[in-house]
Amino acid sequence: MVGLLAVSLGVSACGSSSKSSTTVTIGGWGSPIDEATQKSYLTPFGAETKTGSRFVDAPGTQLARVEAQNQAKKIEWDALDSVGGGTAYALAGKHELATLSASQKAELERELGAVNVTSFGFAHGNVGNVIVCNMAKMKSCPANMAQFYNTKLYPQSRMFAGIEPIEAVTTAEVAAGMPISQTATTPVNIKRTINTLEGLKPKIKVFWQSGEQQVQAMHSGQVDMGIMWSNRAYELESQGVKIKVVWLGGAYEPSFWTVLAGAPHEATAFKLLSWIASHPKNQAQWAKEIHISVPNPQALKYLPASFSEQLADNPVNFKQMAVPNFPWYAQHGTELDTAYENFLRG
Amino acid sequence: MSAEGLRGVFADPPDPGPRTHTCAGAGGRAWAPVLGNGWALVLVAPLLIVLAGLVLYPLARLTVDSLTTGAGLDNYAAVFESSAGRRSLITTFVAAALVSVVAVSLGGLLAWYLRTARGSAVKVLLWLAVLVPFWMGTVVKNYSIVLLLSAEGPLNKVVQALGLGSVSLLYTSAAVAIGMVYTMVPYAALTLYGVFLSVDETLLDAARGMGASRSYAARTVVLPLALPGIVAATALVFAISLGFYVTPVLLGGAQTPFLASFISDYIFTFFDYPVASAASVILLVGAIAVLGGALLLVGRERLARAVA
Repeated sequence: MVGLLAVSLGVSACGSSSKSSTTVTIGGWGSPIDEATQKSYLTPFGAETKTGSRFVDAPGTQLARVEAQNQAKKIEWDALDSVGGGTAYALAGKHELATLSASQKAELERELGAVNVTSFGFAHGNVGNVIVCNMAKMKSCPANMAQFYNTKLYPQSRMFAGIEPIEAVTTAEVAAGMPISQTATTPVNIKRTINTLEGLKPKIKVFWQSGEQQVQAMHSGQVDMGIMWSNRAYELESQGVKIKVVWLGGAYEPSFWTVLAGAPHEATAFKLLSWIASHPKNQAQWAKEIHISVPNPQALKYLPASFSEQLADNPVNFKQMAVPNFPWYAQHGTELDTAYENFLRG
Repeated sequence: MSAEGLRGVFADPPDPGPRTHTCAGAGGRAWAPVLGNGWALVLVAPLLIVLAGLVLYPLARLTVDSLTTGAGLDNYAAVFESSAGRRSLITTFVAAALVSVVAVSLGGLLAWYLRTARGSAVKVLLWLAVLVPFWMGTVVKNYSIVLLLSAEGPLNKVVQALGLGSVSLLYTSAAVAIGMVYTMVPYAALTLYGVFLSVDETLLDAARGMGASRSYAARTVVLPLALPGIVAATALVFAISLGFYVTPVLLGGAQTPFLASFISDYIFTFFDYPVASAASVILLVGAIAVLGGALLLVGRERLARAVA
């Protein structure tokens, strides 16, 4: 059955490929991220190295698809484009991601800073889980996460994450009083965070499952405020909705470029990662296309100040956010996911 | 009026004689409309092979996997021990039952009016009401309900205009039930239309001629004749309703528990195929139980005749 699933889950490829001898297969997100990656990275990289590329879109299902390929013992993908932090750490915990060599890790750290590099890849496509208020409906907006969780102070309807529980529970830990400097290293107390979330639940009208749903819920007036991805918040603003964005106490949500363990073109895929890391101008172009942050500090210099102020990796924003404890999640992901599922639907 | 008295009013058609339909060529075998068992089996064999390969084998494999992979029988325990699993089961079966009753009632009314309407314009309108939802894609259909039920949608505007505050229906089980009913009414209507076509309208006239009111005639003449078809339509709607996925996701949101979403989570989030298989088998058994119950209720022969 797993073999059959692997076939059905893994081979629906799309995107472009050249007639070059090596074609790198990338697990992607679909439009518009695929287009941005193609335009900013793959096309220039392909022209320089005569390497082809193609996407297999798997938005939100990268974990299942990589697992299916591993169980079928047939790895078809080479790299993952900006896969969510929780997924990346979970895959790394199962040894399903290739490990960077010491020299490549050092090279990436020189380009991006040690904070953005892990043993399995580098952070790319980062957003903040920020508080967003519709100011046409609210007189004031919570100033931090503790106030957002205070339903007496702010009884308005909210939206909250229905997916990616590690970021959601990180905001709950911050609301319960944990300093943002400690979230990255403190194990999550599942029972406590679920209790905190239960207090908020009666005011949550929408548990979003995608960025589009976040925008739609706020735009249609379904909710007055909520936790949103920062890029989606500014998308909403560009549509004319009068909003206020609060970064303080939000959860930083990094994504990662990674290479799969046993990838058919592992060396070329790593070459692609190095190329992306060392091209800040292309990263700036990618960020501009889809309003999502990139890791190279030099990239911000290629962007207008008004734009870079809206990115999660802007130092002013980054220092206000809590970083989730991803290494803990890699070990306890199933436990947390199950508890969150029961919180949502139980 | 005795049967003898009816003779001449409802005259029998002239006897056409024995039905032969033979078109034998010179020295050839006579053509018969009914195939022998051997030929029938040959002709139906490709379909049986496809059915066995694409339906029976996966279902059998699913059942075996649910019992032999992961934690074995405990895969089923995992579904029942999870509060999300329990709520999903209850919500799914209750919603399917509710939707079946409402969809069959509305579909039955539509089907009856289709059967009895005289004006062609009315008939066209009724057929459009039944068929247009079929022509629309699932996402479009559900999104139209999202627009209808959203905070600034027309339903809320009417409620607000009436001074009744506002209603928050979107992302609730009620919204899912509305979406499911909208999808299932045409299935019920089309199934029941065939059933009502087999009801002889003159029996109603006879009943009314003997003094029965319209509703009494419908209850005592139409309903007993159509009952096997109604049961068949209800079972069909219920079985399909158990497997809804897109509607609960779009209209119910992440917080509304339905078994199809639960199964999807176990496949894509937890990558736990054994528990997903167990939940799928529970869903399958539920559907089979309902269809089996329908068979027992009205009898196999009557049910087959009703849906033929």
